[in-house]
Amino acid sequence: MTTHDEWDELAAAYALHALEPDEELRFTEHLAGCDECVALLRDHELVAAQLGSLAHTEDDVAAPAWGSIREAIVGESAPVSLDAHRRARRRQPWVLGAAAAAVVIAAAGVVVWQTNGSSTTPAERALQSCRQQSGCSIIRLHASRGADPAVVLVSADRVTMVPLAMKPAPAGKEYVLWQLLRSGAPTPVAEITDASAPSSAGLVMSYADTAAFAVSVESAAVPPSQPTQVVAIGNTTA
Amino acid sequence: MSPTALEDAALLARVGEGDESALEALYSRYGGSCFGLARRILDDAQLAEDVVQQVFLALWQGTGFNPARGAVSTWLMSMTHHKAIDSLRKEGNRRKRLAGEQTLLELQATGPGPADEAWSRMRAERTRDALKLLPAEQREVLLLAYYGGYTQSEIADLTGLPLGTVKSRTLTAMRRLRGHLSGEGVES
Repeated sequence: MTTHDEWDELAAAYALHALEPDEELRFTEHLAGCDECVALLRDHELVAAQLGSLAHTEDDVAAPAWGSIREAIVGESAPVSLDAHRRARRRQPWVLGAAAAAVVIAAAGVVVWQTNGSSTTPAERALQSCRQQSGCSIIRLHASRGADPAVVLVSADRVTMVPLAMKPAPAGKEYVLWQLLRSGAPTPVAEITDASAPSSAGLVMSYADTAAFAVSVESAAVPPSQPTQVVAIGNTTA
Repeated sequence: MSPTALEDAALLARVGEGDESALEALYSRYGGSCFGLARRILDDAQLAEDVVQQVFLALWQGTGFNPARGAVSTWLMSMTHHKAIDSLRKEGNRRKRLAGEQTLLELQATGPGPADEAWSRMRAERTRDALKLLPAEQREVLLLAYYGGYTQSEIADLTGLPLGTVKSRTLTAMRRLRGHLSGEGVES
């Protein structure tokens, strides 16, 4: 069996939604950096969709009319366009300066990022501090290869991303922290303007509804409506 | 890209601009298939409707669809399947999971219908024929996973097979099914 036969097995099972959560996480982490697996999964999902065609027969109960479900989907609001999304982002205090981030982190009892003068790393101190707090959750973000690039700390409806091994974003790009909801919807939480310092923001949705956090690389000029290139992801324990 | 996929992509672009009529058009095309799939898995029309609402809400909000992963229609079915299985696991209702395989293979779609229905029937017949070409043990693991909502570990427990066998059998079954559906014969 070649290395990619193993990933192909996971891709086939992923398309069938038949993986255990830990395997699913392992596969999605790998998928973010593997074009070959994206292609494998595309083929498997096509086959899975064909399996789905068996379900629909004429003796089935008719699907609900559009008019009966429209309000639940569309409501009175328009979808979030990129421009509207940008305006919304400007209204939200996502991007905090280093001083503001430090205040938030200190208020949460987390030792802020420092670059020298201690035998333990800032991340270790942050983790230790969070562990000593009641109600502080630690989510370690994993990359498809190499060391874990960051941890996310959640306390009192605020989220703080502490970089561990993140390179500066490429020119014209920025990192974005996402809250991945159990419903499957990703929601941007914070723009990471400085990959060497903690960034903090309020959670957009409740932590209890959150399945994972992820970091993606996005164009700094065009705010994303969904993650483009996920570079790290970690499941919550909520 | 097929003409239908091109039309879907155009509709999707309009959805992204907030065009509700485009979303309605996509629902008109695929809502029935999504609902049918969710209902088959959940055996509950209300739960199935909830699933379909979640799927089209995600489409409306522009979350989750990745063009690199395939066509809109494939994504809608995949999303529906995932959400229906999630709902099934949440509900803990697995009573009828094992009863479905033979039914799925024996179902015959008959009678006149609009063009889309005719196409759906043809596709279902083709898939059913391809499934019948699989060895029974391969078909079993596919249907237990897809329609039963079982994880591979659960399938191993149910069937008494080693987990590694379930995994390799599933991959072989998916490859063979793809080969049959594409007219390329059996892939190993």
